Amino acid sequence: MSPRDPDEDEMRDQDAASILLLRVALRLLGEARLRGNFGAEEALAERAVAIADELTGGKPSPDPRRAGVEVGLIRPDRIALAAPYARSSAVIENLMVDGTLYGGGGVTGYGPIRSEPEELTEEERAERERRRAEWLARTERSRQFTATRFVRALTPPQQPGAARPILAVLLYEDGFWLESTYDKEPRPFDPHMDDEQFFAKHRRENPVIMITDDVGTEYFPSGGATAGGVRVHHSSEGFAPAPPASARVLRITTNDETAEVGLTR
Amino acid sequence: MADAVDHRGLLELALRPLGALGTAEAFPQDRAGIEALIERLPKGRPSEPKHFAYEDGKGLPRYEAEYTIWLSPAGDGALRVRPQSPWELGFLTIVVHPDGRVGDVEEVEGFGVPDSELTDQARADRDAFERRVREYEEDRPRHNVWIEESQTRFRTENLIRAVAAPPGQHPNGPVVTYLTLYETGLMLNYLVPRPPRQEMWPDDPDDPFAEPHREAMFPGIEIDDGLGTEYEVVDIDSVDMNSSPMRARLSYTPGVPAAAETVRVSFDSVTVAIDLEAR
Repeated sequence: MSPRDPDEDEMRDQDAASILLLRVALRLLGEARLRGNFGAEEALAERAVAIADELTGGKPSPDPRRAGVEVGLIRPDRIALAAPYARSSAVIENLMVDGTLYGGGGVTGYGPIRSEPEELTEEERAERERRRAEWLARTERSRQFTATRFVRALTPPQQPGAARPILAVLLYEDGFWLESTYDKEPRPFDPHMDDEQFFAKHRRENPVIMITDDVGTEYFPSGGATAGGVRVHHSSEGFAPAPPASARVLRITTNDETAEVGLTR
Repeated sequence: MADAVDHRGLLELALRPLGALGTAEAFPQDRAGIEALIERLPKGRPSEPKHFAYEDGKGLPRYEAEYTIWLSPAGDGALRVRPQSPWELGFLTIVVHPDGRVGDVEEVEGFGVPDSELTDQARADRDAFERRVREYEEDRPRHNVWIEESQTRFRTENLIRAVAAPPGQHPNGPVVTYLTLYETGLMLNYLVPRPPRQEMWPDDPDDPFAEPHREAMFPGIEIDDGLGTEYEVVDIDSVDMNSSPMRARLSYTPGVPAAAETVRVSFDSVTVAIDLEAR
């Protein structure tokens, strides 16, 4: 999915779909409130199509595979509505019979995707297998740290003047979180930069973290990472394996700074 | 000029009065009936405006200091819905019928009449509006200082050190992992047990706005440094709600006084003492 904002046409189509969805929702609610429920699902779906047709003057749905407004029954007093605004993109809302809306938003990429079977050469098949094996190995490593059994937290000595002070190592039985912080100024908006350039530029802002210990353990990223904040970030990155019992110190290097965390306490 | 967002908002605001109508044939056309309808309105989403009020729809529109959705009789069993912002002198309005049909969106500037026709009440509302806007502008520098302070409080130049909480805390309760001490505040990092999936993400919750993960992540917590400092929460952070246990962080002001030797963190059932002198 692209992080780029939808273009103006798409936004206009999305707004139109939202408004149609709400107008259909009001009409369905106007009928349902008298019964105290939304009735049978099939009749409801047909009714939604009929109302949408009436409101749009029979304009075709933006997604030819789907009705202009689709409705599903969540339970007798709740329905889910979707109005496509493009092929495989729709706005959605849930509605309760008391008039409460919830769970609204947009969905993109729903619907079946059909791909033609490919004829691969022997070489292409081998390359695909190789890449698949690499992917499996990467996935295996990324899942190694499960962060389920916490052992203890360790903190390094003060690091005055450090650009990215290490705050703590949260040790678990199968890996650890490394917690650090760094200042960050707001990113200036460059209208000439596309998504790829934007992310490439800001990816470089995050330095690679190297972790070693005194017994030569190879540590690798695992378990994911989180970071966030305005003008100052707090970051938490997962690594595996857990330091072995024989290790006495972890050395954490970011850019030109190294912090040591004692493991023997 | 009304845009699609305004139009959507207006349609959304019509839903709750329609739902609250229940099995009645038509919207009430008198004050008592509309006020009774307002009493029955569901709460709606947490972010939705909550203040509804009756107006007769005949006099000049009111402008109150609170965001208000005015409901008035529109004839033929219909209801007029008029949201009013404290920051705009103008509004959009729509008529909703009991069968869910809606009329066109109408846009009104100011009071919809020339100044010469303004009533005393309308002039008072306009004066109050202008005063609000003026006060807001006057308060902007103070607000900017507040924003600057809140965005820079935990920058690295204010960092003193992190202090690990003791190992071997109760395995099934909340676990304090470490404190981060700043000149300007305190961060409490902790783990909480992850509730079962069905409790966290029920397929069809009775209350679709309930936030069980937030309730689990942010239980009642008290901080005691032995010196009587009163700590105020200034930020809450769901560091990782997908893990089990979940990780969370609360940020407080002011900073822990240098004279403090211990910080005691109390959850409902567990108290953890963190020795600040240990290293």
